[in-house]
Amino acid sequence: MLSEHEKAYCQALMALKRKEYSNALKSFEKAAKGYGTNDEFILLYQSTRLLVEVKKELAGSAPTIRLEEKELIING
Amino acid sequence: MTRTESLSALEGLLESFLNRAVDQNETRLSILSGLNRLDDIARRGQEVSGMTEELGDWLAEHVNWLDGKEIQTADAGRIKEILGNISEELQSPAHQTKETQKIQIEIGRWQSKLLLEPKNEPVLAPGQKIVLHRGPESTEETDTGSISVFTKQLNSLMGLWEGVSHGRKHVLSALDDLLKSAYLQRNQEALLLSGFIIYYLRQNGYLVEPYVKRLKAAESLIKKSQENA
Repeated sequence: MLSEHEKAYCQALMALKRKEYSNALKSFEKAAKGYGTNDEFILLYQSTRLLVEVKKELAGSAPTIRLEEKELIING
Repeated sequence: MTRTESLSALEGLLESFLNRAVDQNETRLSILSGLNRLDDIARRGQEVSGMTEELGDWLAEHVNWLDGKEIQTADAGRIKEILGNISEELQSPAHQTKETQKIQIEIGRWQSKLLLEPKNEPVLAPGQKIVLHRGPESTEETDTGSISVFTKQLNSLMGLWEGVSHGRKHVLSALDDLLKSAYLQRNQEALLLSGFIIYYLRQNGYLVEPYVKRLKAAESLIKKSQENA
């Protein structure tokens, strides 16, 4: 049987292929204990981690859409 | 360059890198994915009726692995081990049906055919030497004017475009990344694609002079590095 770490690494790579970077990162984190010294793993893991952080930053710095304030006139 | 622009450029580069890394390991990824699915099937051992059907599909889908060209020795060992576990599960008298017997036979075939030794491995007797003869030197020339070479190039550019444009809203952001890649990494494909995009933008009334300057700078750098190579 595959170990949990091996399964997680597979899932991370498959998520990368689908461009689901947050899911890939979660799986890389699960796999990290088993692959901590593997150069290829470290490169992909850290690149994904950085990309997810960059995406978060970009999402945070996007301009907020302000709705026009409208005055409600209530008759009565 | 603003902070947001820098982050966007970094985002594009990272996505492009990860896409390429995954694409380059396409075969390996498909093997890992197959192994993972087989492992999932094995873990659902209790539900034997569903398992035999799923395993049958898996064996049919991956029958080309038996020729040993794609899978590594370690993977073959893994598959044998997992199939062995499944086979043990199916041997229980409670699970004996026509379907499980058929699957058992197929597992047996896989167990005997899967190679645990690399094919065509040279075997040398002690003291035996290998003499390597060097053939005449030849230069392989690619006809860049041929339709097939151009089509291959276009497909490759399409892959590059998918990577660099993913998550972008405007062509200009992707062009910016491509020009950086052409200049900093001396990436010939990024240069070609940038040229195409600049022409497209010019045809649509955009002011492209700053991009043309960057394109020329990247082009001259790439030419120099090719001359020095």
